[in-house]
Amino acid sequence: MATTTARKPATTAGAALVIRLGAAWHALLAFGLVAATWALLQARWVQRDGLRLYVAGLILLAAVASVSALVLLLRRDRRGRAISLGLNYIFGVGSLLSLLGVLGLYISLDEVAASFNRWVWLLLGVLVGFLIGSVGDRFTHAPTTQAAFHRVGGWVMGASAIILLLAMGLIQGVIGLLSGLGDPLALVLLSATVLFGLFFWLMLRPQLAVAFGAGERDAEAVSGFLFIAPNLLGFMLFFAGPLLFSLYLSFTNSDSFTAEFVGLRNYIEIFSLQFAQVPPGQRSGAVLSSGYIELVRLGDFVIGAKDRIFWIALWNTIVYCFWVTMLSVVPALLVATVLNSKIPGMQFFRAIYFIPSIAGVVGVAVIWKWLYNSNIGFLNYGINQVLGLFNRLPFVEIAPVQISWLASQQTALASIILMAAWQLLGFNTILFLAGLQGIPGEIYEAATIDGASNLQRFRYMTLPLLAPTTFFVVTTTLITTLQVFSEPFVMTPPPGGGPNNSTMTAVLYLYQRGFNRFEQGYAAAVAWVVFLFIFAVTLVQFRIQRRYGDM
Amino acid sequence: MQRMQRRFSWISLIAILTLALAACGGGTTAQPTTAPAPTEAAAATEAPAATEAPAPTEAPAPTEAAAATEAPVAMDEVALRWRTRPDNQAEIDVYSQISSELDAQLDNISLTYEPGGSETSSYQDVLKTELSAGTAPDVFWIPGTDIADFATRGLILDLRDLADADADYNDGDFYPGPMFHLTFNPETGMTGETLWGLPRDVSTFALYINNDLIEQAGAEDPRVLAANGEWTWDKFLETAVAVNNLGGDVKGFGMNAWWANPGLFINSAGGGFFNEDRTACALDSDASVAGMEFASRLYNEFGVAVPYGEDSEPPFLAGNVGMFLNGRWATPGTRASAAFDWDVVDVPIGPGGARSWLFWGAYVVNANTAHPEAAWQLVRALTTAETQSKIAELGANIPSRVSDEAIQAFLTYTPPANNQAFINNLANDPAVEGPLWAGSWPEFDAATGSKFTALLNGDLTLEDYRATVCEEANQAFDQ
Repeated sequence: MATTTARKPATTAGAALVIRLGAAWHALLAFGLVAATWALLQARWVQRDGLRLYVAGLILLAAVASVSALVLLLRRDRRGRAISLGLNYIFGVGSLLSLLGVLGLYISLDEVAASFNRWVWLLLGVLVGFLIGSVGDRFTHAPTTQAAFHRVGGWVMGASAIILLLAMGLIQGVIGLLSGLGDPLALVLLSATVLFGLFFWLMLRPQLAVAFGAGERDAEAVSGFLFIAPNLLGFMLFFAGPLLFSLYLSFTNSDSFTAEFVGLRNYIEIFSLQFAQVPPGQRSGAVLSSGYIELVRLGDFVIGAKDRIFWIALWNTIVYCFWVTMLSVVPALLVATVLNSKIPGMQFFRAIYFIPSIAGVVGVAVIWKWLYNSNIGFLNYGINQVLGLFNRLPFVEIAPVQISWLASQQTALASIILMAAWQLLGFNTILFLAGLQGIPGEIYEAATIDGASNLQRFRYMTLPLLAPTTFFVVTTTLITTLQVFSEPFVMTPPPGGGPNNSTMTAVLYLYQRGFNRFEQGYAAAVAWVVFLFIFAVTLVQFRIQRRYGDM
Repeated sequence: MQRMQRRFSWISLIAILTLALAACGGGTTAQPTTAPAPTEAAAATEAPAATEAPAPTEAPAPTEAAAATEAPVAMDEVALRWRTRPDNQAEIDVYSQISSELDAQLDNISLTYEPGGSETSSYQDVLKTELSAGTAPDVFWIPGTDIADFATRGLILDLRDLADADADYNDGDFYPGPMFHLTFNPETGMTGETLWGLPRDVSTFALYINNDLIEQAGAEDPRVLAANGEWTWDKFLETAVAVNNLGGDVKGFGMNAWWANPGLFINSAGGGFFNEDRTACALDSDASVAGMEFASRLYNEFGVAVPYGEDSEPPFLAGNVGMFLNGRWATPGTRASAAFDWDVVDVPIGPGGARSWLFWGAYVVNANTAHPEAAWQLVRALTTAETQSKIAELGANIPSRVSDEAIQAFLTYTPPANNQAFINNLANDPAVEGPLWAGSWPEFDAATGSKFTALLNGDLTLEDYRATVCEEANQAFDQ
């Protein structure tokens, strides 16, 4: 370790110049970014304070990174090169994408698609060219003829492709590109793209790597990052960015249009609970403070909440999660065990069980909604038909039933649980099946020779060996079910979440607060509470799994 | 092999680049219509009347109009997007046709019609999200209950100045109920000062009746009873019980689970959702509770209704429900699907009269539109008697203009034969669907909806309902 840091790498004059240029470039970039932050904070045209602060924060962060790169580059520190590469890459890609936007590429993609549909038949020429080339393959005995066919085929293919591109507007595109570059903003973005690209390329040069003493591992790391960069950028832009922005929103009273910082107010409102004793014969409203509404009553005690619906939604979500997990995991294991047997036609049954998993949730929910209809639904019809059979017996008279599956608060959530478990069962079965097929048959043979019964083999061999699969199945099912939205949204439509909020779930509730009532700040806070809850559940599961695995 | 792979990679790269190049050519044709250029929009709103708006309307003579619009600077055609919430494909077709006709009719305005989703696909939620993202259309329809929310958040344009400059426009041409809210100024609390939009149409509840079931049950014809002024709650209950007694899957009555349905019984009992100045919940008043008590008895004591929360329309269309409470919008579906003798009848008379609802929605203008004058012209064109009659002919709604001509035309749009029931309910002092200027309607709706459901499903006693219905609902009002 000491030898690697002690030895100063050799630096050529060219590399030294690039390092100095790179440092100057980062100084310029940092200055530009600070100026941009200032301008953004002053800008009146950005009406949304939250968004402005958020973007300003990100730009300032980049400025700090640029200054760090400057300092570290001058110190010949490898980290400086890494930061420089990252910044130049991000800003280079950003400039290029912005340039394409300014040139109108994105809003024209629809037109290109439409134009492609119009002219796609020209691709037949490419096919003809390909076929001509393929015919040539038959003339293996006559190389000249074969080459001639290949050449003609290539020409036909190329000509067809060019005609297609011309028909789609290639020339207009080139003219559009050239005229678009006349726009000063486009020129600035083009220059930025070139400069960022140039410095990225310079920093990537082997001479620079040598100058910073970067070894094989650094080169591999750079290559690795470059490979994952597109995905990483997408992740940052479309996942991590909005995630952080939602965290910021949760501390505001944002209504989508304006946002004022309110600190922890949203969280305080969510968690505000009050415990009070209610004298007999009195209503809870008389003892609870203003703004608190009875959540639950336990004998003479009442628990009031400022946001009663959140707690109801959370409770419903937990109930839903528990039952759907139970009903889709335990039966899935049993079904998988059966489907794992080598009986003819088992492939067919595996497919049958898997079908509900590939059906869309919304479509399935709509169909189940009809099945559940109390008046004309098949479920009540089927029950009454069965009851009718019993009624044929002497002295038996059972009145027909009309269960309000989705309309009654006693049955609504259970109805949705049943449907969701049915839909998840197939997927979990396939996962268990894969796990079961990974267990070597020899182990079972040995156990059989030792006299283990079927039940003992299942209890002491299958279950422990399936533990990783079980952990995966339970974790993914828990996470999926804790985020339940579509099923209650479709089956018990708004307003509210079903009869007397009995199917209101946490995600449905945050959707309603955010998109139905314009309370994006509060909805973001609910989202973070739900996220932390799911995170905590998963963490506990990991701990249990680890302990279970250690035993 | 490696060479082929490399060649393929190069060909792919060239293909992508050339396609991208081709895309660069079309950028100029597809500009967003709601261009957010703030200065342009602001300038246009600050000086709405002087240049563009009055010219086409005040100077109808073709030559003058042409001179006014095509004058010194060649005026580019204005592209407007507009949206409404149709209930079915037939309505989409009619709106598309209207859009094409208006496109040809309105000078220098090019229209794109976007059918919005249905109520169940959250039309308003999508619209709000688009407004937030700055991609909402220039002109769109919203229900009457949402006007306050959109207006107070500054999402829709106050069209009063444009209307005042329009000599042909008169607030009095439309039903006064919707216009009260559409001209309400939340800053002064006075009506008649603003103009948030113009009503697309109006509608009201009536009872859709299955004459076959009623006759089979031996009940009196509700239409005859209504004509004689005897269609009371008692008679209504008698009819429902008689039909219900037919047994099997047959139910006497059905209504869907949203605020207006229980609201009808509250209104007819003499109660209401809000206090007089609409600043607090009044669902716990004696009259309001009496209305809900009657509704609750239908479900819990007599068991004559399709369970509250179930969609009553499919069993009604299947011929299993004697009376189905719904608005005019249910007519096209009933025309298409009912295979039995059906008609409509007035809503029954309760202790407070036969008070139905006056439902309405309005065309409003996006506050960020770049073309307010053109948008106003479009709103005016969409609410002319001619346009409204084309929509009303479909059967889904009633023209929002108060005119004998419109009413006479509406009566001819049969079936149902007894269209007069809708007109009676409109004339009979209906409660106007209205926004909450002093609170949040979605919050009020969510809070009360769950209480209605709990009471009508027997999960809450009437006493508990009275004690708690306004507890959460009052939080919807500005503190």
